[in-house]
Amino acid sequence: MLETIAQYAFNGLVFGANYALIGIGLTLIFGVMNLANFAHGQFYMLGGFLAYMLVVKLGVNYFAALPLAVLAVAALGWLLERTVFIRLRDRSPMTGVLATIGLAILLESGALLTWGPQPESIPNPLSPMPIEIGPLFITPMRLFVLGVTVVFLLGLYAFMNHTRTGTAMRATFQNRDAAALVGVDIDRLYAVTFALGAGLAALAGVLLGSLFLVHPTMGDSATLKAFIVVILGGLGSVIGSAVGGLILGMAESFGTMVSSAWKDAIGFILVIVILLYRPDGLFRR
Amino acid sequence: MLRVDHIACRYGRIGAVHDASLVVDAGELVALVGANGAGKTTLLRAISGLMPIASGGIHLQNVRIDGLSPREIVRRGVAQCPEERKLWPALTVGENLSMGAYTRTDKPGIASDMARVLELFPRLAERHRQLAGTLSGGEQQMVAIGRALMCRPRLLMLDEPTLGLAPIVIESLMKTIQDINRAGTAVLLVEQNAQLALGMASRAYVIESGVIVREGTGSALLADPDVQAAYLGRGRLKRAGQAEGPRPAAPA
Repeated sequence: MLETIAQYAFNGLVFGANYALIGIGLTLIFGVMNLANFAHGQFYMLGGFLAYMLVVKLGVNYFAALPLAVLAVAALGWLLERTVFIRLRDRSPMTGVLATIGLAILLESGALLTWGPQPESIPNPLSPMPIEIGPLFITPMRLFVLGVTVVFLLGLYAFMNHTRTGTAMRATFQNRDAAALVGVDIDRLYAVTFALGAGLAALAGVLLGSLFLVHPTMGDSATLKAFIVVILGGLGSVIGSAVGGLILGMAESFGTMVSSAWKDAIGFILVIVILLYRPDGLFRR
Repeated sequence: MLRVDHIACRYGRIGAVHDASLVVDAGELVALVGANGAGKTTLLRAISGLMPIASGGIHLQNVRIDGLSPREIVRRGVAQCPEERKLWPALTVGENLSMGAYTRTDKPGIASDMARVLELFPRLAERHRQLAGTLSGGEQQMVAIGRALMCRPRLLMLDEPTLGLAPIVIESLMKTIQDINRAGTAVLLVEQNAQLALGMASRAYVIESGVIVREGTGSALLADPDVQAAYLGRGRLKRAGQAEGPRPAAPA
């Protein structure tokens, strides 16, 4: 019994860390740019698909394809900010919502046209045989995924708290005019934030896509989950999103112990319950 | 040093500043007084590059600066300590202050300015690692001024620094502002509290509905009956009965 619980907890950790990556990206974009990015899941999907393309069609090594796919999506995020979202600055929030929904449809339909509707797997060179660690049986890929996400979450924490750009991001988050007044280049910071958010989603897409399959519509549920994570943690709180991601991952994992049919409903039930008692989320500043 | 020539600013179609001209010379302490909504904050936002001007021009040391980004304007030595302080509440006091030097790369210079700010406001040294949002109003204003000083400005613009502060706190804050000015930084002080601002300024401007309507030395404006009636909250009759009248004009 204890072994089973440990196994579910480990799986919850793997999912949760990835949900945290997606959620932090969404919350950064929302907090800094005041933009609710409904195309966030599509960046996640694109990450997975670009990695698949690089490995399968171009024969790139898996471990090289991973950073390449992430950087490509981050670059796309940068470009979209400089060409599209820069024009929507300071309009009503609904304009941004509509633009990102349009972008989501565009990216998803583009993926369907390019890759077709069938799910694909991203081949990786790691052994599929689980290894035994204490009471757990873990495939090397899951271990790799967890390792990469943890490294990125810690790196992100260090970036936000101990670098000039990270501090400028937090400052802009809290008061944009004051940040502009001390000389933060707001346009550049917005582009960095959007690229970072899109890149984090893409990273989760490559990693979870490597554990399961990638398909063009995988972004839809990722967007929903990203919003669940961000609402759980409190809109605009980075730590909150990390914790929200872990809560959702754990809840889903243990939920499958009870009923796997209810797995996706659990997140929404959680949101409803938490919002009933903490209307601003768990970590609202 | 700073010269604002007949500028106008609009929010959409609504004009906030119609015709404003003012000059601040190196080392001066100049006050800008006016009622709530007269256009004081808009004028400062225009000087800092946070909002575009519709007409006129702004020059700093004879170089045109309107149209430049706020970043460029800070780099040229114009700092603004904005209305309602606008601190980053979830950043520490130290982070708030350090961010003030965002455009600078001279580490030793930044360190010596940090030491100077902490000397000016010893309270902030004690609270260096505390989140700015947890400070009292007076302490928050110290952080806001300290942050503006961290870019080593030639001109420090202060927007309503006394807002919401207790009288005793205001008194020490004003002393500090005078100290900053005496150390060589020009100050443009925007205040609703006209008595206070005119009392310490060498020169001052009065803004009304987006137009600069009066200018003169601080003491001359303090003694101006119209200014008294409009901004000092007392008519001539009332003034006659008050113990604390305007002091005779001191040489500026």
